[in-house]
Amino acid sequence: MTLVEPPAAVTEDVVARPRRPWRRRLVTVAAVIVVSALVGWLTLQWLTPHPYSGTVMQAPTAAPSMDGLVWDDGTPVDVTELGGELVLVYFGYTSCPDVCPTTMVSVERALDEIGDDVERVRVLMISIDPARDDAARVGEYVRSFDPAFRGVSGPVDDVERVASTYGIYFARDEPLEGGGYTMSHTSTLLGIDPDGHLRIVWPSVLDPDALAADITELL
Amino acid sequence: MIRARWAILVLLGLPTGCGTDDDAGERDGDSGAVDVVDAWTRPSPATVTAAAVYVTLENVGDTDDEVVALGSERCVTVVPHRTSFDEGVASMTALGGALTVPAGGSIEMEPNALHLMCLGIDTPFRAGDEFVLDIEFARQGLVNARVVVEDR
Repeated sequence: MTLVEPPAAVTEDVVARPRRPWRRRLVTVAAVIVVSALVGWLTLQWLTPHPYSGTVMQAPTAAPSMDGLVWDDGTPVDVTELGGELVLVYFGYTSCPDVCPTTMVSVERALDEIGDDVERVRVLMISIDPARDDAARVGEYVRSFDPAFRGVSGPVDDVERVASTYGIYFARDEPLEGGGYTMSHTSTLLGIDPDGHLRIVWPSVLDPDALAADITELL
Repeated sequence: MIRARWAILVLLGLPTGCGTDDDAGERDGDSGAVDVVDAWTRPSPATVTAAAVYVTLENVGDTDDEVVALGSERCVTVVPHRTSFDEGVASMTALGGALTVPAGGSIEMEPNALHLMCLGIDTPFRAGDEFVLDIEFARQGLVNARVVVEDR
């Protein structure tokens, strides 16, 4: 009898299976790729400016005067006293059934999302219909959306001057069937930053989530 | 409360049917095929006498139908209006033509677009209130829709 040698193939298999150096290398390469991608992405996030949903002024200037206008408690508005907070300014009117309430609700929702930062945000609506809206009436209107919102109005001439310097157009529409009238008006939302600069203009139709992110970035 | 405009319709003998029936979206007669779904409005500030009401009208039938009159117990007049924007300027205009719900189609009203202007509110809308909106269709007749007041 002769000794039976084990088949050659089995010997090779036993030697080859536990090694597989390519597998370890693959894991290392994959890890390097993942980490590099993560670092790259984070760097890009850090370097990329916040994508504002509003139009940011390239060269922000001091917010124009609101002299002549009064707060809902009757005290005069002094723009220079608004520093330190982000001020959201909306030109609207209280007999406005669709656009103004929709904007007020969107702003209120955005403020709900920003936590304690809300303490550093002031919201005011300036009436572009001073014939019907005194400041107290505007105040009562905006407080129905959020007790912290403030109303502003004033003599027609002053409202026209202030609106014009803020780039706001307004005009009375044709009388309504059944009495009264509506106003056409620039319905963008303006932002005065904590340094007192007119800094950003948001579009008429707001996305509360995007607005909240912008507010956080501006503070 | 039936306002002057409705009273005229009743006097003219139009099929106003059950004017005090306030079941939401109930149809008056068998020929109609428009469903009034999701009728809502926001709470109205105390100083305000105008509000926008949003409804969706779904025509599940195979014939176009047209809104010929609108009214509500809480509004002196109800008028279809459209909000439009041009370079940041918002304007509202009364809908010029007819409010037609196409066969198999729908009209969806929403903020910053088509809405029903409710004018002459004397009691502010409070969250949780419900009130009747009367919609008179050319074919279907009167539908008494229930409007819900809610924060949206």
